[in-house]
Amino acid sequence: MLFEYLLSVFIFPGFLFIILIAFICEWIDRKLYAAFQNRVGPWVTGPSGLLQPIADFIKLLTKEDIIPEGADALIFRAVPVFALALVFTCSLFLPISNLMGLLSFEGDLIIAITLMTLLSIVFFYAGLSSSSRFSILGAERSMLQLLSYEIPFMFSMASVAVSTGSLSIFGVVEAQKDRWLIMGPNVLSFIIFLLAAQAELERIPFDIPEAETEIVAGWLTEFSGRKLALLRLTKNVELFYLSGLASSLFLGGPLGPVIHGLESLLYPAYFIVKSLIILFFLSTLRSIFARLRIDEAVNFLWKYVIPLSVLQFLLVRVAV
Amino acid sequence: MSINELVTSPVIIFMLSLIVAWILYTIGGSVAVKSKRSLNKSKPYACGQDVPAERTPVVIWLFKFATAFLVIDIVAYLLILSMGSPLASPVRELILAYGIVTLIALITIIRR
Repeated sequence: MLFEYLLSVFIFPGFLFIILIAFICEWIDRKLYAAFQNRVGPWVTGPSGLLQPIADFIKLLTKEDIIPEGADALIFRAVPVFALALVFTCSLFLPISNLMGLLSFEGDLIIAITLMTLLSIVFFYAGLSSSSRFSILGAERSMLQLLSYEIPFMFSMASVAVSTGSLSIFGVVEAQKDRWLIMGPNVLSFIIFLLAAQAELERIPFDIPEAETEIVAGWLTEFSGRKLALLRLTKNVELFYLSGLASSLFLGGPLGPVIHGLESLLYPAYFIVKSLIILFFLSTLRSIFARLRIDEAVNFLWKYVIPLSVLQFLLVRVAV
Repeated sequence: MSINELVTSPVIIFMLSLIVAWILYTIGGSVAVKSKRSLNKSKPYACGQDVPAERTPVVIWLFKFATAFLVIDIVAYLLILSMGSPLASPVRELILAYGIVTLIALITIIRR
């Protein structure tokens, strides 16, 4: 019992699996981004560059670790560890190995989204504690962006909860046994969810908090060595988490045609395939758009996406 | 509370993930090149210009606004979801959310 528990927390579908799949997500993202730009992308380490993200991670771990003068050393050290722990906890809500995630209770939809908001606040701390101009600018921008994408994000989750009548990810997945949520009035909330996820991940077109041509790397500027390694891993796990959440809320997560006796093999396979489809959409969005300025991003989100999300919520409410 | 409920509670899982993240961090520390402190290295990044390291207190209003926003946001989310049928027990979620927000506010007040 205890052994099984430890196995599921640390190996599958726990931390080790999440770290590995996050690296694979980064590899797919980089490969796709490169393919859209007519480049090869990573291809030296491992079969067609599959091990490149792991090699990058190890390289960054062995680099020297600098704390700049004027930085708030305690928070500066704590930020990478806390950020990684937050996304790990988030990922354990995902129904990877069967219909129920490792962490599952009534109301975990709220906790899942609260933890994501907390992650943005941890990033804000990262910028604030490093006391460089670029970091502070980046932190401010990411906070402004948080204030604008949070509402559509919550509305799309709320319409999912209303149309399935459940507040837990397990309940939402189970309600999709006959029909996926995307085949219905929720298709609009799926699009809004993807947009908000892109803003949450700070990727193009919403990557102004870390626009490297003007403010170096935003709140990430002063981090180096192992801290940068952990923060990059955090970003990758976040990418996997949001694609997994989208797939389990709208595409039925681990559900699919099942051969009796092979459930434990087929559920993770379906889940991963669906998450990778979402990841493909996110990478495509990233490669075909240009960066929005911060005022443009906030304008766009407040003037168009938020009214649309309210409308969509009312639509779902009427349809149910 | 049974042992099964205890080990699958989010707090315990968060502790475990904190430990895993800290282990990764210490592994990094033990294999990394030992850094020699020098004046140039520890300067904040400014493209070679001589810009002093500074703590800017200006953004604090934004932080206050964001924290208040976070609280109101979650409450609104709960209210929307309890439209028609009141939630069975939102107490645990509320306590967790508010506890975390209070912690953040305390850290900010103490460190700044």
